[in-house]
Amino acid sequence: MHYYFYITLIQIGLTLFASSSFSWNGSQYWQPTNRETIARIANEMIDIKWQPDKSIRNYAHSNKYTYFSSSKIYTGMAYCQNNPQEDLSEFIHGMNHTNGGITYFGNDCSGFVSICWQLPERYVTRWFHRDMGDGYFYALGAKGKAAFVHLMKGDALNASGRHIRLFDRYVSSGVQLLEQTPDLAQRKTYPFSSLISYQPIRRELLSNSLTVGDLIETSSDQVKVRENACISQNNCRIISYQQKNAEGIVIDGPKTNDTFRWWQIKFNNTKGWVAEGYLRPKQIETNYSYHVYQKNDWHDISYANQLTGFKDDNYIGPIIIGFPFPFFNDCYELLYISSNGFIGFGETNEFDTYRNTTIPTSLPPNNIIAWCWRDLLIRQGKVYYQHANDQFIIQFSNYGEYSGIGTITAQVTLFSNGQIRFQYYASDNHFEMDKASIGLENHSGRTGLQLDSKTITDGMAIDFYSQPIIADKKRLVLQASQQHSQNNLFLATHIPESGNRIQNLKGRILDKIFHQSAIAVFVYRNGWFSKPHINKPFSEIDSDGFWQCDITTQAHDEKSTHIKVLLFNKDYQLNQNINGISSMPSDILSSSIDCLDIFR
Amino acid sequence: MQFITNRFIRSFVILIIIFWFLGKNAACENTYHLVRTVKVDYGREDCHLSRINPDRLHPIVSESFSNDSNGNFYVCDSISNKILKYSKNGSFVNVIRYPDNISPFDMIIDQSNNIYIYDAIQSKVNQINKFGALRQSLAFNPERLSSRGILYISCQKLYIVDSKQRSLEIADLSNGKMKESRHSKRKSAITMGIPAGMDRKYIVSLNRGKEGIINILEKRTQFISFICDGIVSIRFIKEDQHKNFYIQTERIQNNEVVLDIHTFSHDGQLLDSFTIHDNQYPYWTSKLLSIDHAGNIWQFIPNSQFARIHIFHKN
Repeated sequence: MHYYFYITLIQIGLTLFASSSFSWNGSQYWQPTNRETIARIANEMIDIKWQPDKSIRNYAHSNKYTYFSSSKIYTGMAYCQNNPQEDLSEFIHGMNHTNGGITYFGNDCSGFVSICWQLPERYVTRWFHRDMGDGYFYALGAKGKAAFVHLMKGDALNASGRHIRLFDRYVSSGVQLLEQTPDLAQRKTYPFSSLISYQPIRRELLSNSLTVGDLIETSSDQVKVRENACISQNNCRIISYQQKNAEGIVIDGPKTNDTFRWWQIKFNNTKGWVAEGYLRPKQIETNYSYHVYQKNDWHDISYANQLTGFKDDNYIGPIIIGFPFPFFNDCYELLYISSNGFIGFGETNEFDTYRNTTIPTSLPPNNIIAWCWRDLLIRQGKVYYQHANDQFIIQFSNYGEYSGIGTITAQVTLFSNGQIRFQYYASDNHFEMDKASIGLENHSGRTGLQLDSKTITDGMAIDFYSQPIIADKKRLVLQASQQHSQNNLFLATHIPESGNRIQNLKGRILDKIFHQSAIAVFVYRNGWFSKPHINKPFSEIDSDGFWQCDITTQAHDEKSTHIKVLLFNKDYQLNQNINGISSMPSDILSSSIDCLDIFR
Repeated sequence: MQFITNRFIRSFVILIIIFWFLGKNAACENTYHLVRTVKVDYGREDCHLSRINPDRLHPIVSESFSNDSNGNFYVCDSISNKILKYSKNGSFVNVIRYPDNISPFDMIIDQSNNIYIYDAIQSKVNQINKFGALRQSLAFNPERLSSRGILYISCQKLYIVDSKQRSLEIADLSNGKMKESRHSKRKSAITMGIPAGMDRKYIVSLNRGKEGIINILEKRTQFISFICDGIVSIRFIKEDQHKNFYIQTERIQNNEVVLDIHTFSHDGQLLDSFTIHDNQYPYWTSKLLSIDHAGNIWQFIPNSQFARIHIFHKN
């Protein structure tokens, strides 16, 4: 009896040692990441195909072991509640070097999320609850509010003490989640009625999060707007409730308090602090017009980078565009290329389909640029791409069709200003262009346009132009904020309160003129002073038109009662130092394009 | 004269009552009522279900269930490798034990009462008979599915439908046998839509918060749009023996998630919308309910203390 007991102990010890010699104890650095990276790590663990080199009984949980045969190929990393946990490379190494018998390979639900979120240590579901808002993640809503908040790829749903899973995307039947659950990591859909035990949470340090100046709308009814960024203190009273899709502009934040992340929002009728989970970026409709013409010049790029991997009914990607490409209501930096004649963005639902439909239709695929959507097959053809001066060009050379011997050579060019060009150079062997769907479709499939493919012949080109959306954006912003300039060319989105020496004055230039503009800020305290410094009288303007200025660089600046913001042409030179003079020089004022006076 | 008048008034009142009654019944033809709630205990006996870690990390309970063509209801206990069978009035009938090398993910039953169990670990569909004996296994390539799917049977064909509502044709079920689909290796084996009935497929979509959209794909494609304030999910369930079809939706109302079942006639007329008030599912489950051939609703909710089955019949 004792003999077997000790042998068993030694076996377990050896196995644990073998397993812990390759183990995941946290990411080495806590650093920013993006949603695509989180999803990629999760999907790799879900889609991995593996085969143990010897048959094993792998520990799962609670004295339960899962049998994996060495003669079978499995999809998805094994579930295992062992400590420490393993990431994908460690798991594969373990499976390729096992001696068989009892093993402890894989990870569990919280290990899976810890790895995908690249947390500096392994978290369990109770710790996800305990440490909410303490630096690594924060709450989007309370427990059971998954249906009410705006979830984004890579967010998590946590049931403390039970389970945690990652949000992948919304599907018609609810949500698609990525999770590690017995016996293999998987991708699965759930209705909201089965998510009542879960609290929606979000990782800190994610790129593409909200910023001051963003336009937002609320994600559900009865969204609470609070006096301050908190719940538990006396000064956190609810000052209003906003209905679903209420529009507003972010004017301050973020602040993390009481486990939530807060943004100050200016709505039409009120302003106050709202938890981030109940906000989503405002979608502004964009429309396209097009121009069909004969284009004789052809810039061949078959010397450029070749794209491989095209098969019958597949897609490749993501491919880096090289600039933020505006398409309908969003900007994309990555795209996917279908083997069947279209390019798509975002969710790749049905990007491998060979059946073309009319455009637009809510049926997937959506969010596509269809240059020749029908059942194609690359055959002996080639696909090239090139980045060139705010353009991204994809060339399909001698690209074949599935049922026929015809080929087509064409280019799709994306311009950084949102323009799209299809150029049809040549087709051979009776390529049946008239069977194709040609056009553009937005992410919901409810907006788009289709051209008659029968009218497309060799040598033709189609240019698509997006309609400007700035006017709409400006209208919305100006409705939401009263702190706008006289000519409505810019606005102040955040004005520090009197006495505040920490915060900067922030704003945004509303039109595309910001490339040719300069912003100068002056404060009045017993005279006018240039800010931030007399030697640096102009404020930085970023690539989106946002600007900010430190207006408290000298003693008592925080007590200034009058702030003047002037907009100039970029090449304007201040010919006079503004350093304590009693009134602003009239020539400076008359040289400005626009002006905003702020009184505190 | 007064006698005649009284008689006339009496008759008139009776007629009104009759018309009101008929009218009320006509309007309520497809509404439901709860006929029974069956409590299923956890334990070791045949009629009990199993569970693991009910209050600890990663609890595991039964999550797949289905009806047969006679209206009987089956719950698959994946922990103890057995299926509990209930009669159409909810009485426990018997237990069916299936081989322990099968890891069930979903279950469905054909018209011959063969049971099909989808094993997502082995990527197989197993056909077992009503005694639990394994009759056939069919492996398939899961790469073509975007998520772990749900089983559907239509026109004696077995499909797995993924989260994108793409159906992978797995097998032909003619004569009670499971024969690998002759299309399964072709690209046409996976198609958009959930097959139901002859040459008909359904795809549902959502204009979140505003409307549900049902696309019926057949010779003439129909689009049915129904406005549903606060809608957050929509799912096609099945066609019944009368070719009515059933759509499950969830919507937000008064700070709660509300679960509804909508009945549509074959030509797309909305016949009824019924709210199921008990929709608190504490454990994770992809399927919320099942509808039998007669259109009755069977709701299976595993809880930490016991599981319950609600049976709703049409009036």
